[in-house]
Amino acid sequence: MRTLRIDHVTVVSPDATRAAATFERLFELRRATSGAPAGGAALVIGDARIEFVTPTEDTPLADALRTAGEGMAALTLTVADVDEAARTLERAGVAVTRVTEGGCPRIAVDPTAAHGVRLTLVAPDRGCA
Amino acid sequence: MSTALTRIHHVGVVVRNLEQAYGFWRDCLGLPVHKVATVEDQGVRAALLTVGDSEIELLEPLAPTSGIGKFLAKRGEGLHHLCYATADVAGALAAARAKSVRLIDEQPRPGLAGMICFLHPASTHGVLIEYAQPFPEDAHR
Repeated sequence: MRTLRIDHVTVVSPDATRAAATFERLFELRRATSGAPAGGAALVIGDARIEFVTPTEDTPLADALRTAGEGMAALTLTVADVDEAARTLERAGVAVTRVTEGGCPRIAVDPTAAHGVRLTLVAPDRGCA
Repeated sequence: MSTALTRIHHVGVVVRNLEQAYGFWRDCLGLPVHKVATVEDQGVRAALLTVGDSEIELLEPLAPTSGIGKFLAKRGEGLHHLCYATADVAGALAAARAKSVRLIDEQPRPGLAGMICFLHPASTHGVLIEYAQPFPEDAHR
């Protein structure tokens, strides 16, 4: 598997807009011009992003906010080939869930295998993400 | 020297055992191990694995009484902190202080990633933030 870079980290907050504004002010990060999560915000740092989300549904991120509180809750890495990555992980006995959003494939990795990390693997084309 | 935060230096992940964690992060994801060291004053054995211009830092507690050991006991394995790279960690820390950010470290100290310091998560929406100025031999990191 070729893992290329960190795509983004996800911060969950009851008020994602406020959290993003805090990071923007304290760390002088600029807003992403596209690809912000629905109802949230994204800031750019180097070739990666920090995404801020207020989870409103019964999702793993909502669980994270409920159980661990506000903070960093997920990591997304870019891989060269999503299908090949899924096959590699499955051969190693790692459970993955294939998801397609907006025509873009993603892999959610079983957090148990990823040492407690809510880990998603995405394709290099961020415009697709 | 610029105090700008230029990129994610690393994302810290607490694990029970480094060697077991390599089975996923190194062997499955293909991330090469860049550096391994014991950092006594932080109570950890840590490894940096390269991913693009950034790294994943795996942190194994040396003892259950260390900060990382307590984190592991309370929350289990998982994401721990987010580290920004800067060319001037002292200046970046001073800038954070000037913005009334609550600090964990009043001055930079040596760590695995270079000269480092931590900001308190109470000021940053629950995210433990580290700044790192890589050592000259790791300047490309």
